Amino acid sequence: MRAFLEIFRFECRMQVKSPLYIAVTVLFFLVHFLTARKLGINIGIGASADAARLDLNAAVAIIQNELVLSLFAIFPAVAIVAAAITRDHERITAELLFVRPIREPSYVLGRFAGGLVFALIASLAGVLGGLVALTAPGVDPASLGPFAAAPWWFALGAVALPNTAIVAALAFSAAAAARSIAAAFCVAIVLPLVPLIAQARIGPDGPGWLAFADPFGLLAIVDVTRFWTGAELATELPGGVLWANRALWLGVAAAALLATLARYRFVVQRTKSRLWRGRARSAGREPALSGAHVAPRFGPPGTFAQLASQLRMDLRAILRSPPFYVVIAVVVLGCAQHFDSQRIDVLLRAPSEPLTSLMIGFLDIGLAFQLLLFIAYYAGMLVHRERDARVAEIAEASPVSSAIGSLSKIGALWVALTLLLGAGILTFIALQAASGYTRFEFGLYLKGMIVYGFNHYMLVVPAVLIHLLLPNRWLGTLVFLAAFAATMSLVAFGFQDLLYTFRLPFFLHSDMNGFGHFAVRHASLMAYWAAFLVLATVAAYLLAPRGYYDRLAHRLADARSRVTRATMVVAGGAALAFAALGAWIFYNTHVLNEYVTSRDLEAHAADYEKKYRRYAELRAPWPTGVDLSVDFFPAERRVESRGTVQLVNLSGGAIDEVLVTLNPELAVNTLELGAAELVEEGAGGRLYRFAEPLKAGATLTATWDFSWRNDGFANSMPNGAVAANGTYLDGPTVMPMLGYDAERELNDAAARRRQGLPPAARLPDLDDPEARRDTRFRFLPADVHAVLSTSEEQTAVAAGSLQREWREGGRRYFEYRGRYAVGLAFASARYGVARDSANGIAIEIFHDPKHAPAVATMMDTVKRGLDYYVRKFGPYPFDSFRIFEYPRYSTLVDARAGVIAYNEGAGFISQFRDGEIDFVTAHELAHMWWGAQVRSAILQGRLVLNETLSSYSALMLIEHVQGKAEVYPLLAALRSGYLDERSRERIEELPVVRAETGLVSTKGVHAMYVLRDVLGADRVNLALRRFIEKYGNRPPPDPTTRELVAELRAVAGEEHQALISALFERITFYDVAVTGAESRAAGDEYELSIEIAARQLDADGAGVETEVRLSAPFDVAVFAAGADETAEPIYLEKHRLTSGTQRIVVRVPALPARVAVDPYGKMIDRKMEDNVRTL
Amino acid sequence: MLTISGLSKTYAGNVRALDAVSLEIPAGMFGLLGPNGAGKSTLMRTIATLQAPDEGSIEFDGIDVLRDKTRVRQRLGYLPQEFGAYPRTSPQVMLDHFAALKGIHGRERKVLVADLLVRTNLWDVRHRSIDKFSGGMRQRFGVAQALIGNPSLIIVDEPTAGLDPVERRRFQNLLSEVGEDIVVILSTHIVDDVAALCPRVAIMAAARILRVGEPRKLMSELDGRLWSKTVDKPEAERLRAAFRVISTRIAAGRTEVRVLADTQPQGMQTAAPTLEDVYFATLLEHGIDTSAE
Repeated sequence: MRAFLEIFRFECRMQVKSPLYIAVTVLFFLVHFLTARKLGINIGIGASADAARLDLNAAVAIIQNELVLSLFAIFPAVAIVAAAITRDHERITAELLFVRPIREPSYVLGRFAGGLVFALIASLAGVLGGLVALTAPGVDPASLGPFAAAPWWFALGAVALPNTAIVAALAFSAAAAARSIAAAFCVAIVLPLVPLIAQARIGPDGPGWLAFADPFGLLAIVDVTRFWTGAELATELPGGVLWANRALWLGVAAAALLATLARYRFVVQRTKSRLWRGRARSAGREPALSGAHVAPRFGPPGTFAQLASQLRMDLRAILRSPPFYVVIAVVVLGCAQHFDSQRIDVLLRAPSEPLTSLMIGFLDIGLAFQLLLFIAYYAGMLVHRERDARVAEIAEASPVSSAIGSLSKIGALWVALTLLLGAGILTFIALQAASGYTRFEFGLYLKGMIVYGFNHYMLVVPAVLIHLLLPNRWLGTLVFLAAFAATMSLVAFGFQDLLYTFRLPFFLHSDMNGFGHFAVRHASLMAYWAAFLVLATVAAYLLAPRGYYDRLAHRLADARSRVTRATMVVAGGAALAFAALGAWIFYNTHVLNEYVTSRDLEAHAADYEKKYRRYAELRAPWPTGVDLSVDFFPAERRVESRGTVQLVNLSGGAIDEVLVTLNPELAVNTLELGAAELVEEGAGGRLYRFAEPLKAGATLTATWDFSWRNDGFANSMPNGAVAANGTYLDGPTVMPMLGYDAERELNDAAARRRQGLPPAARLPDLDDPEARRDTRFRFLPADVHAVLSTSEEQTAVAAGSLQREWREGGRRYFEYRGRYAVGLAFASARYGVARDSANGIAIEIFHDPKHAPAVATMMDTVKRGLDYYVRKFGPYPFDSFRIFEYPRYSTLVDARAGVIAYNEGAGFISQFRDGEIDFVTAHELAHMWWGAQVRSAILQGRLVLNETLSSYSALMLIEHVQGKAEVYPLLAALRSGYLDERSRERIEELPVVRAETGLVSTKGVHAMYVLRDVLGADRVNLALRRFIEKYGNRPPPDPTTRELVAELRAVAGEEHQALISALFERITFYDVAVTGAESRAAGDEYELSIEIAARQLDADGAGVETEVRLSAPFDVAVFAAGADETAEPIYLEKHRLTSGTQRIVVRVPALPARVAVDPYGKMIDRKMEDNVRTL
Repeated sequence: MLTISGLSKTYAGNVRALDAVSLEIPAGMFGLLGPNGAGKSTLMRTIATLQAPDEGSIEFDGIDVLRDKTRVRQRLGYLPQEFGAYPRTSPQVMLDHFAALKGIHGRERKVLVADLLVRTNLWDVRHRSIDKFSGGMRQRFGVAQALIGNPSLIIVDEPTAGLDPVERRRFQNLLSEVGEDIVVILSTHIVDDVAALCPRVAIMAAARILRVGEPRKLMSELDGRLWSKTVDKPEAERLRAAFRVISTRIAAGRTEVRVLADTQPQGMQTAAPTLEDVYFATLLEHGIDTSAE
């Protein structure tokens, strides 16, 4: 005990004096402070607590933050705790200390405890940082809920301290076992990846056992809070699995520590490392002395040979260290994981082909964490290596240039990084080959390694420079990591200029458009930072320590003595290049383009609202005819649009002012509204006033001439709409749109407060008769005549029928004519076309020729869909159907009049199974009924009439083509999708008829399908057909969900009215469990008696539940013995269940093994595990 | 010829390491003898271009050592007091690397490394990790690297500290083979090394050079002034109070006391001066405590 205390006190004294400990503590405080205020590190782990919608100090938000930030405990775990046990090995004091009469356990425990205390203090400082951030002045009070102490205690006691202790114990034990800090580093790089990797494996049923696999508890909290409501997330503390996880990992940590205590011996081991095989080569005969007089040679070739030798030694150090192979393993694993993630069947989405284009981007941010730690660790190891190994004096007294040291460290790290990236690329290639994919793009991989790897390569030089300047390796590592984190959080503070953001912005590679317009920007930035790196390397050369400096003056004098002509030339050249490239970038980002930060963008959006919201009530004339030309200049990324639009005042009253909403990125050359006078403009809008009010029924002609230019490159994310190959522009970007566009308003509550805006207006109440009569921003069919032109090798596409196509002046022209609502879409690219027809409708799919395989499935889907939808819902309203592809810079798929703008990532690169249809195509095609024919009034539930019905139609098409069994897994996913969605609801949950958000594509679709399951497809489709007949293809007022539900009620019997209410008009949960089951043989059949407990709960918007009487039909299924999960049941019938316990007796033909109520998750039950019982 | 003039160095906290040190070191083996903390290592490092003095100058064969470091380094072989090797690295790899740093390239490097391994008797262990070397093997490796590139100035700082007598002898033999026409500075606190190897010696203590000369000459200065007596411990204490005792040495349980005096003290015999006596006498003259207690 005395020995323990002595060691403990010694360790504490060491730490207290160390600048490292103080730096760690201060940094922890700062990082937590900034993160709590949403200014710092933002790692999105834990989907359930979508922090964006929670108060900053919501209980789960606090805990979630702490969980993520506790990943950083790996640093003190290695640098403070694990270093405590290896410190003695690295210095010769080991031998001295080990011979003293101290028993090993006291020694080990003393070291561990001494280190741990300081790691724990650092994590305490972290939690305090968060607490101060959210209680001190300066935080937006509206983003705070009432203060509660409990979540903070929880974050400290259940998260921060245990995680620190767990990581510290594991790192310490590893270091003690291997007698090397490298082992601790391996622990540090692997542990944080566990939750990251496991997270991607979370299926629709939640984390399950993965909640235990993660030592930090991140997934456990996801599991616990998965279906929590906003109110629960704000106040409740997670328990259950989280506690079990804590107990498990604290146990593991304790066991590791105990094992270390038991096994640690005071022997300075000199065992052979496995990597160093000592190579028992034959000794070889001793040669005779050659006596040759070997004279040194200097000069450039000599210097190069010196550098080569040093590089070899440094590279050898990396390649011979075990952690390097751990890093390779995590890189390979990460890449394999990413490859997989592209192949996983996400909800209603076929997996993508494993395109190289989808892989290379991962080499940047996907490996950022692993490679950052790699660089941080190895830069320190290499730079301090000569001192640590006591080779420095000999090397420094050798006739070598002082540049060789730093150059070789940088070079060795670059080579190692190349090996790591190469390992990642080989992983991708191997997996591509293994999955039968053969379009190998080695050149693209090489380019990807350079453009996406650059962010890693560029970190090496500052890492080496920092370590050269700081005497302590761990302090250097910390400063480097802190500097990196600081660069990352500059963005949050509004410092977003690429000229000082020491990191290249991420961008997407598109299989269709290649690196596209990102290439010039990226290349400029790479050259700019390369010049900077040369300067930093010169600084490293000048400041690299050599020999002993006891005062700064000596070091500076030494640096001065290294300034030679060559140095001046290199530094001068680099400085010149840096300045010139900087000026070029500045010219592009500040002169050719406006420099805007994300705050500016926010302010611009707010400006539009502030300036024009008051005109939202203005009536607008309607377009009846449009005549326009759109000229694409793909090489310049320029589009010119001009034309006229005929407008008529159908508002019923006189109009004296008209608001025109314009895309802010457009250049407006001319815009005239008859004789109206421009009275106000700016912020993406224009207000015109008529000298004489436009009377009801009067007409008016507007003319415009717009340019869409992309000169040079911008600082912020470039707009990808106009691309060299694959431009897609919609109506508002090529012509003036009349009226106020509420879609442009800011959504985020905090952003609205920052901009001094009132809370966002919600949709008008479903039953608000006044709002229902409002028909602003509605389109009626108009005659549209469009002449498109584009470059010779491209094809331009629009809605309507193609009248004429010709070439003129080296350009191609296309003339389209049609009558449809003015939701326009124009595209141009180097297209291949697939043509077919169904039901007399011409079908065209304009696609990148590389993506032909998916087109076959899409075409098949369109043909089958047209056939099915026409039969079930009524005629298709256009004479053609077109799909065109555009690059994946945007993720949208837009349905227009007979045209679908479909981005490549959503399906063109998908790998469809044989006989499978494309859900996305089926959904968009269905919009030609739900959207193009039936519009909805802009009230609550408006999207149900478009999105829910389109998805339901697509689901029915899947059922029709592929069979019911393909629909069941989708149902389960929709159900858990809804429950996830629900937990993110901040204000109040609404039933389907009033749904405003994502509920429409989860719960809405689910509800429709449940109804189909109960009533039969024919009855539901009949209701939909009647709905379209009554409300489709006619002028406003438009229908609401009330009319839809009325049609559904009309086809359902009296006994199903309650179910319809539960599905659409209320928030209902079912809680069903099989509580008992017995079978006995009855002849050659079996009689099965099943006991079922059931109840129904209705929830209000805040999630408060009350039990109500249940009476609804449920599937009851019995599965035979030996059958697997996906087997067909031997019994499947609907039984009406009521509140309470009930007994059902059924007869089955084979020996039953499992009984399940609602096995396919058709009813919303939050606990599905008890729905099944094994006999 | 290495000429050191007026070299001074003071560390932070007013710790004086060199105090106006001036020294002329001709070709041949030169011993720098002094107790720990005398400033020897500072002097060695300064000559080896690794540390800047506050004042003074060093010249070697017409080269200003403090300014023209590269030219000195091209001629320098340096065995620092503390040195090592990259972990898990063999002497062959390490010597090859050091040879590259010293400007030996191509095939010549291989030949040279093999020669050095043979000369330092490390050939058989050339693939073994230096981490596992004994102290003597390590020092031989150190000499091997210092000999790379035919240096005309070799600095060897405390090379025999911690070696057993056999290893020390072997090491001395190795050093003695180094040519006589180059400057070799052997810094040590072990008198035996200097006595065995060096035609010239300087005694350094408390940041100053106290004596310079040939060992034989320095020893002869003590002729007739050095006396010794073997006594019990209490008696030794008494003698220490009464005479100028330059050293006491325990031999077979009794204490041999050596005394400096112009006339023969009572009961003492004449002693033949050794270099060690010179060393102790010098330190004593300058008021530096040499007592072994």
